Amino acid sequence: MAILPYSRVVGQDDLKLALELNFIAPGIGGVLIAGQRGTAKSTVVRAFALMTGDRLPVTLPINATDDRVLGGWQLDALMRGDAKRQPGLLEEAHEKGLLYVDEVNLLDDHIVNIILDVASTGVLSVQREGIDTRSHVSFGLVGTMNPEEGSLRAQLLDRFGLMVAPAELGIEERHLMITTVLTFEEERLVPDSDWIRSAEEDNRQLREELLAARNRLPAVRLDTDISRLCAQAAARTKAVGQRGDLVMAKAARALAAREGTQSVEPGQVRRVLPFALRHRRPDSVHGSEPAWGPDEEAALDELFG
Amino acid sequence: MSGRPVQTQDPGEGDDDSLRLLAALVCSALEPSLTGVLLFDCPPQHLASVREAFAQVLGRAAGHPSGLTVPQTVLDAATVDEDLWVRPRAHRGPGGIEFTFGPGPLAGTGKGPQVVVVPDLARLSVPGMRAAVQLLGADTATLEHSGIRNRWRPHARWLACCRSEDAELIPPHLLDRFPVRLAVPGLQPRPGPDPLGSLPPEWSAALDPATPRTRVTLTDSFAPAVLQHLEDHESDGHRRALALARIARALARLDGGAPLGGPLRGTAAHVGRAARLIRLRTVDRSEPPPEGSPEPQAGARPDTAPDPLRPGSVRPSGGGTEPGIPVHDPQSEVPLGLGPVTEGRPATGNPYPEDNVGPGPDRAALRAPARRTAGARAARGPVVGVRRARDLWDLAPSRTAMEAAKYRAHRGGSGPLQIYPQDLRGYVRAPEPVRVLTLLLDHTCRGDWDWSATLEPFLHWAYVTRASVQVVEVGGEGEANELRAGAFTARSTRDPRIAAALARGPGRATPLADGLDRAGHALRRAFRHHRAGPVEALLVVVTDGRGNVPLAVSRSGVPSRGPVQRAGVDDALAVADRIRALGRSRLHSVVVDPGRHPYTRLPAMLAEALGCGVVAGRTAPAGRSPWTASQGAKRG
Repeated sequence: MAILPYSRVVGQDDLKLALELNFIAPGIGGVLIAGQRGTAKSTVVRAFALMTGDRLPVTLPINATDDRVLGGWQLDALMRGDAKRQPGLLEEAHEKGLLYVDEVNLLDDHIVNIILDVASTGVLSVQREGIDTRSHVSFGLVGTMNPEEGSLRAQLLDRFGLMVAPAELGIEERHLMITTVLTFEEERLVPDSDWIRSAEEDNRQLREELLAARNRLPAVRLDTDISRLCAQAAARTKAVGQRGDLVMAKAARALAAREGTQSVEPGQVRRVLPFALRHRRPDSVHGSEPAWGPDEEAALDELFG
Repeated sequence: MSGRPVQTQDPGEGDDDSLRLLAALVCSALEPSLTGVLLFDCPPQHLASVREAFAQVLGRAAGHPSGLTVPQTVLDAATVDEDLWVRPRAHRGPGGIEFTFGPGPLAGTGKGPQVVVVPDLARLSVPGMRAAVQLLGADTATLEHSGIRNRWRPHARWLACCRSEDAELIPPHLLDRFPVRLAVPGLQPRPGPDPLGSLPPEWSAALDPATPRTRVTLTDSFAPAVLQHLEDHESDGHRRALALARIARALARLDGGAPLGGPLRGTAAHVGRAARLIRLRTVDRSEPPPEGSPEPQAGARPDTAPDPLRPGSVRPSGGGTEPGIPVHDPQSEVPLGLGPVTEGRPATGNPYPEDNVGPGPDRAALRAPARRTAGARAARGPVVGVRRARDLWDLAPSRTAMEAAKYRAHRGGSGPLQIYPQDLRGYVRAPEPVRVLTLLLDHTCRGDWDWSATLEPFLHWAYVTRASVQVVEVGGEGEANELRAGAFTARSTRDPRIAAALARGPGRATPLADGLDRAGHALRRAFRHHRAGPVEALLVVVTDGRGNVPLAVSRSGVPSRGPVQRAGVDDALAVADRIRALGRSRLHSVVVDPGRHPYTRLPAMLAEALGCGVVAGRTAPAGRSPWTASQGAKRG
């Protein structure tokens, strides 16, 4: 496989944490990664999917046509005179739990409308080209985008449970990144490479940790004072709607499960809070680039002490 | 290609660009991730030679017999999605002519590599640009188009050209995808089968897939050297660093010289040579680059080889180290680029020209331009349905086959599917909008004037004609960088950001030239990307003309040290003149004069540069048609 093993991705702790929390608690509803070009956004997503599921995620490319999104007929079979259904990406995402959209802000509007319609109703209704089907679908959305190329519509933005931005690497991390990437490119061509084997072993351990956390999740308590804290944090940051409060609580529970605590602690809420709320602030809803700066941090520091 | 050694060529000859280019193409062929080669200022008449040479190099890397090339695909301004991802094929079958649909030329079905050629990247269509963003440097690619699906690892190499000055027209997001960038303005291919020179035997051997691949290990000084070379070319991501590192590794591979059974070593010296190969200019700060690599392994090329980036170690060839004169490392088979430049000296051949033009004026250039229309005038919008085909343009293959399949039994049952003319179905596409309003608001000219009444007729026109609205804000309060204009595109006048922009307070600076530049880019892009072009574009400039930020200052984002004087005004007039050159019959412009005394002459000068009229802002009656107002106030 040509993708850097997840355990060897240098830095990007927020990206990794958001994806891991979404894996532990799929109810979070997905992750949007918005950052500058060349910051390994897609690599992290693909590497994570390979680590957790041994396969690449169901991917919706920006040039997808609606017949592939909704489902249609197998063209080759049709040309031979056979009518064979070809499931669409939304059905496939339902089976596998996740739909990945690279460059999500470049998707055509009519494809965005389809996704929004299905994501909000949970129903995939197809009545076209002689097909008449209706099914219930549910999947998490993972998207990557470069905000230089424009923002997302507020409705679609809100469908992503969490939003994170890649962090800049320090100088030592950049050295390590260059060396790691080039070493991987050499080692993946070497049969029985010790380097690859070691990376896969680390991947396996991490996957087991995440699965164990997923198993612990139902037992993690969310006390009333913590849920009140979530609501207060959302109010202080002027988050629009209530989805942010809910996602924040789910993400904090997932983090508690990841860290092995019995109940959610305020520090865990504080850690995941920007992920859940940065894209639900009024500026973001009106099309501006989601920002999270010192003002927001100061308001929350006051709340969390 | 013949095996004539490269040493027989004098690197000081005028064809040095050819040698550098050949080395870069070989590096691209050797490194799977160096998938894009972007040539700046390549003489267009030589592109055919270059692409042929690249195809031959890739053919050699694929194990083809000498001289056999790989398939080539050309993308240009007319490229649409259907050309790239779907390919109809007709063939004779037992029952007559049959046709099938299969993956298109970029869909990754070829067994070997191919070359995708873009003669002018600045004029590539939006689908072409989106394809480049999807495929260049990607670990994996996915196709989900018209019933066809595929997942593959892209192996195609892209060869694109553009002029340096056009780099600002290309989305940085796209430029960043090209890891190998060279300026080759003096390219002079040779006549004959090897236009860029012949491959040295060592390079041929390195490219030959039958040659066992030798691992390249990196010395400790390798990664620091990469980052040091890029200090003056900081970008947001890591692609430049990885590109330089990969070119350096390819050069190490070309050098060969590995001890028996041992790995090659990638060193800081290789990084230096890679930097010079692409003419990566670093400012000489008289600080020697850090070294400190461990002792080289026996037989390996020493890491402490003279670093030609250091002033004292560059060996001039043909008379010195002035910019534009090549230097040559005697240990290297690879022709080198230029020596270092001293601070303040203008750099030429910069592989990252977009760094010198400030932030791109064209956000969201990879999205189809926003526009709306009242009529079904154009036919290339998103598919919204299917209907009986009226012609053979834009057929819906799935629905066509389905229609034919329905009558199959009736028409004779077995055998291949027969498609009758009445089966043909075509897509119904959402019409493409055709009107654009570009509104430049100079907040610093407003004072206590309520400009909403003056602007209402223009917005009304945009509303009625369903025009998209491009708003450029100059000198707005709270701008992230007050030396630059802000801009956004709204799909319609109902976008709440327009009202917010109209109500925004004034800031301190007036980067009018930058605002006009952004408006010009937006208009140019709209004209370029609409298949038939917008029917009308209306540019409304509300300003008193008192720009006080030169364009260069806006682009650098750094305040000018000396007095600005008239530079801001003159730059604005120069940019306005360029906008007028866009004009043709489809662009209508008008300057709205806020009537601020004593500067009444400046709006008239701006209008003259734009080739349009002036509307008196404070006195224009509300509800009056902008056309009437514009014509009524037209000068001369």
